[in-house]
Amino acid sequence: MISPTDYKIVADQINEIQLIDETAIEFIDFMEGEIEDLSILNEPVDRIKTNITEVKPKLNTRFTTENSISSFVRDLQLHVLNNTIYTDINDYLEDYEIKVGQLFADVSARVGYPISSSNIVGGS
Amino acid sequence: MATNIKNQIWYDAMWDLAKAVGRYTLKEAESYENVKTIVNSQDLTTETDLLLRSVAVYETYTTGLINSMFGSLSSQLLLLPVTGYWSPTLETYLNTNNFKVSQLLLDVVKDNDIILPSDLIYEEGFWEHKSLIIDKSNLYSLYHFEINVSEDSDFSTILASADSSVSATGWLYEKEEEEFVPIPIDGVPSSYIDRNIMYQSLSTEYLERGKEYYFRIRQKDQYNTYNFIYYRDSIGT
Repeated sequence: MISPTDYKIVADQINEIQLIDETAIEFIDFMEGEIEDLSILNEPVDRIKTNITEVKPKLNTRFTTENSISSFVRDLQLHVLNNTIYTDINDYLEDYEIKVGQLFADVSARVGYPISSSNIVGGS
Repeated sequence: MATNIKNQIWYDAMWDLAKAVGRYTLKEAESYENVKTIVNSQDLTTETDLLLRSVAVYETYTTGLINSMFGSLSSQLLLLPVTGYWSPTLETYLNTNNFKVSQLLLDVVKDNDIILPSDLIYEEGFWEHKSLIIDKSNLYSLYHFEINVSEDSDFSTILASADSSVSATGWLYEKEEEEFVPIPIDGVPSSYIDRNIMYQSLSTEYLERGKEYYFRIRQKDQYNTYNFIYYRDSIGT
């Protein structure tokens, strides 16, 4: 089965992928504000605004419900539970002193494996 | 709306869109690393359970997705100076305003329809910082600025560092509204408080495309060196 070291690496990679989404959305928000400041100008600006309103939901959907990410995290947690004595992923994380990122934990909770704050980086 | 302000807003929007695209290009690389971790585990159960899922994540974030997500938006923004009748061509507009654009935006435009000479495109890894000059001393002052960049939030390793009191190369200040000129050797007079300063990275300071870094900047004058202001930013070139 996957080693605790590789589990941590993989969890961090998924966290980073999610962080990329989050920051990309922030930059599009900034851009939207700037384009809003150009609104008094003319019609091409309206076309950009329309396009932003189409792109933002797509980015948000990728961030919040991307199927491939959800499926990977679900199978990762199942893989651990099916190949160890653990029935709760939190016990595995505690025993191996693995702390995962908040965005990875968010996906894990989304697919049915909530992670305690004590197992999250910066958690209590 | 004043022309200078309009141009600066367009330029800022160009940077933000480029940073969003840059982040997404990194996503493809990061998901590839995920596949490699699974393969390199050299464990049959791990590969059986997770490899296909990992490849599915990677396939989600290919170049095609980035282009379809950002191509039309990039094209519309880049060509706004033309479609808005600000300038006859994008090239003229960039030359007139001493602007460049990010290659990342040109790459995602459908069929690479927007062609520009290389001197109007930022080199990969280029970054710039812009912030307000803040009144620190309440006395007439000549301000200099120091910026540091790191991969670590505690700045244990500094990747790039520039101090305008040591070398003014790359440092600009907003002498007229939205018009930047080199910082004087003696520093920026405090009469320019609430105007912006800008630092444009040198080629030896270029950073990784799409990656997020920690930045900090501080002011200094003939009386004091003030506290750093911290922030994070991504590389949009």
